[in-house]
Amino acid sequence: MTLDHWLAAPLAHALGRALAHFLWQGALLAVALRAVLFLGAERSSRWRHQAATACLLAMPLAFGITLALSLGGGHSIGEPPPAAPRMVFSPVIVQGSPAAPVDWLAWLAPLWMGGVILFYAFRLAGWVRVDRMRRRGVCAAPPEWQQRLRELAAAVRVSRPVELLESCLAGVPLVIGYWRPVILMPLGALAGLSAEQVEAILIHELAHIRRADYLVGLAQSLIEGLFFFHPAVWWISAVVRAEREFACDDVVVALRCDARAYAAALTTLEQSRWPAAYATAAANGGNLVRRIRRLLGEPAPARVPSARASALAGALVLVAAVATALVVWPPAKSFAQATAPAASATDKMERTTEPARQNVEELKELLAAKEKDIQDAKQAIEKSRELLQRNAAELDRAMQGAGGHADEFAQAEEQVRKAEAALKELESRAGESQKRLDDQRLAALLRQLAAGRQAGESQQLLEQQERALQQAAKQLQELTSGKLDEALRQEQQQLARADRALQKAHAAFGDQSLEEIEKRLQQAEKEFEQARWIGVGRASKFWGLGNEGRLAQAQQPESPRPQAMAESGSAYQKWLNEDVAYIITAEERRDFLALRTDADRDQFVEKFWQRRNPAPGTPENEFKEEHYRRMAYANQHFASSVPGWRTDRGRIYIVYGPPDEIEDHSAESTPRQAWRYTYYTYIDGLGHDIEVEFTDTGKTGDFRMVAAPASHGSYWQVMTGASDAAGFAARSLQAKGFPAITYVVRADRPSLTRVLVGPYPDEASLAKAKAELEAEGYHPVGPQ
Amino acid sequence: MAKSNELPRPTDAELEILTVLWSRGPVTVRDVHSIISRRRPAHYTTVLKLMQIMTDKGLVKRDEKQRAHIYSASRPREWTQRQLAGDLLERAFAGSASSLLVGALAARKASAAELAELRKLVGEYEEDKR
Repeated sequence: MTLDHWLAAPLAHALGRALAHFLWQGALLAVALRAVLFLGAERSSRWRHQAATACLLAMPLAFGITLALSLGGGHSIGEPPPAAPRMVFSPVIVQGSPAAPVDWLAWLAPLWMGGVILFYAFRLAGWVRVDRMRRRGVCAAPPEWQQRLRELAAAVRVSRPVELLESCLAGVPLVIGYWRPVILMPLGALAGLSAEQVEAILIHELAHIRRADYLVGLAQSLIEGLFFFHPAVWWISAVVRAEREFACDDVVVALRCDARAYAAALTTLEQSRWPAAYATAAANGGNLVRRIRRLLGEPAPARVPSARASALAGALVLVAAVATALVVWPPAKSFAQATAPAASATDKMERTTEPARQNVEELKELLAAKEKDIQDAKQAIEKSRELLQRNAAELDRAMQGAGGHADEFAQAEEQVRKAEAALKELESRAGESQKRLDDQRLAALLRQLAAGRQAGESQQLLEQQERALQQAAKQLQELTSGKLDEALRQEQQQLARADRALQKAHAAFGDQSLEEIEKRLQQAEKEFEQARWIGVGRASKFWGLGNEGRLAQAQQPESPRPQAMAESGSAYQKWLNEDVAYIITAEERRDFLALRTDADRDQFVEKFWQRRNPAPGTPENEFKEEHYRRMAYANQHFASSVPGWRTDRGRIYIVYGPPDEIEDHSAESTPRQAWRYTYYTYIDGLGHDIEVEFTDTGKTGDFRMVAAPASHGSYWQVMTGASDAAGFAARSLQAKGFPAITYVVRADRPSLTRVLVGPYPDEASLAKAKAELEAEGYHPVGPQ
Repeated sequence: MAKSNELPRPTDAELEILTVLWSRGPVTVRDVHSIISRRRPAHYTTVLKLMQIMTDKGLVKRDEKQRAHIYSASRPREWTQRQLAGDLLERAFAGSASSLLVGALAARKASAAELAELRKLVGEYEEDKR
């Protein structure tokens, strides 16, 4: 549908008409609200807020009804046909084009719609940003304040659960949301104000929630957007906002009683946000001063009509004038009659044109009379002529008949002269009448012109208003289109990034849904924990039996299923016996050796690393990376006749990471190194404060570990087992309060670790510790 | 590592952690996790991983002297806020957003003159109290 079609549609015309009517309707509502607020100056802020809100809601109602009437009514509810005299004037106003007003009104609709869409787009973006503040840069407030908030919520009678968060983005305390309301406190506000003041602020915010101000605010925004062109709407909206704060202040004062402490809290908050370095030009911050004055019971200073008020008044007058011009417009509909202000405006217009109209009537009558006079005079002249002719004929006859009738002839001639003079006089009188008539016509025309100019001025005002509207819409568009584009581009980039991440995730996990993966991960974690504990139990039993040969066998290339491994090639053997030889648990080793196909083995390896990933769900696996780094380091630094990873130092380095301290005596006659893992380094599976000593008796570069606990007292040995199992045992002992440590006993038994509890300096504490350990189900051996 | 004067803009999740650090001072990963998990489910390892990333980016500092590493924000809140205020979306729609907010104070700051008057009003009260 083209624009022309659209403009010709009845809806466009009805919209334009309703918009034009809204100009005076809105002004009228604002004036009414001003009067109501003036009369209700002593009423509560709650009452005043309700009055203002009702007024604001009445605006879309008035507009809707007008639109419905304009659409559905058509001519059936139109006013009676315009009186004839008015028709005389309409050509002057519309400059002889009866179709013009229809076009003009229809053009109003698309302009208005463009403005509304722009405004709403802005508000939507703002809303998105506000909603982001719920999640962005927030953290839960301390539990004691959460508890206090719940108590205060009960006092204010807020039944919905309210979340209290500290936000680094909010400069002031805020309420966001209606169904799941969130109170955002600026960082530091909870700590920076006294408890009483924080409570006052919280009550204020709870009052907002209780009064559903967030919803009212949204509705307000919608209405503002609909009538963005009307200053009255903005004024009423500002009144609603101001009274809303007053009402919430009243709740605080009613509950806390100390208005002054509350005022001080508000001021402190305002002050705290002020000196921020990037403060823009300080704008007129609204009514905080008014609120504080009100709280402290100070009289408001006498108000000089501000520039804003006079601007508003000016705008109202302008709007009224434009509305008048529109209402006088033909073919006006019932609203011209139905509404008093418009009617009075029409009356005023009519009053100015009435004398001119009367004049014309008078002139017409006068003209008729004069014309009749002229007719009479002409008839008289005709009669005189006939008489004259008759006399002349008689004279001829007489002269022919008898020459002696000279007297009679002279007499007749005299009569003829007289008749001619009368005729002349009559003619001059008729001329005078004509001249007077012309003068009067000219005067009437001048008055007519003056009336026309007045109407023309009204139209000019209307056109000015329209131009201003167009310009504003254009500026708004220019202002926003660039920024919107930029924001859109950023969003698209983010979307693309998210898409890529999703594709990566798909590649990593196949077609499984995210929940499935999550579920499987959790399942795997659970299974892993279970498996580990089973492993601990079995391993401890295993090692308790002293079955060391089994381990040695497991480390040899001959596995329980040599055929299967031989088929699968040496890559898996290398992985098992070299890559992860030190970190794989006995349970895992057994499971791996039981696998039959390469696919299963690949999957096992994958899962093996996944289980150890400190941040599951991310593509990187820090554990795996660190492990291979340690392997490489060991091979590079500890290699002698055997590969670096196989040496004692290599094994300790791979399993426990770089030591915190190395005491190096490599240059002495018996080369020696002591590696120390300090108390502050927690080694997974071993605990704290581990010292490992190496010595190179053969001076081959292959340092051997010396197993000797660096003790200052006696220990109870609780178990000996795989490092993993020993680590778990040590940790669980530590959790129960025992000073448990783990020691690697023998260099040639990579996974042989002893769990010791101690040191205990004397017999009494040793005996006590033994009793405690036995009570926990352990079988301490020693002491040593 | 990022240059100290060109810290990357924190993501939403990072900002959340920074907020905890700003509001609680230097804390351990476990503390951060317990505060964050109070308002939404979060894995400890995820928080740990994030904080490691943030350390690499230079957004937070790690004190390794203790057994449990202590983290603190490397820049004050105001600095980061300023950086975020440069965010286009924030700038373009701050005005539109402010009219949707309800709270104890107006969305716009008070002017210097107004603030002076407020101080005077409340100052009178403080003196009264004495």
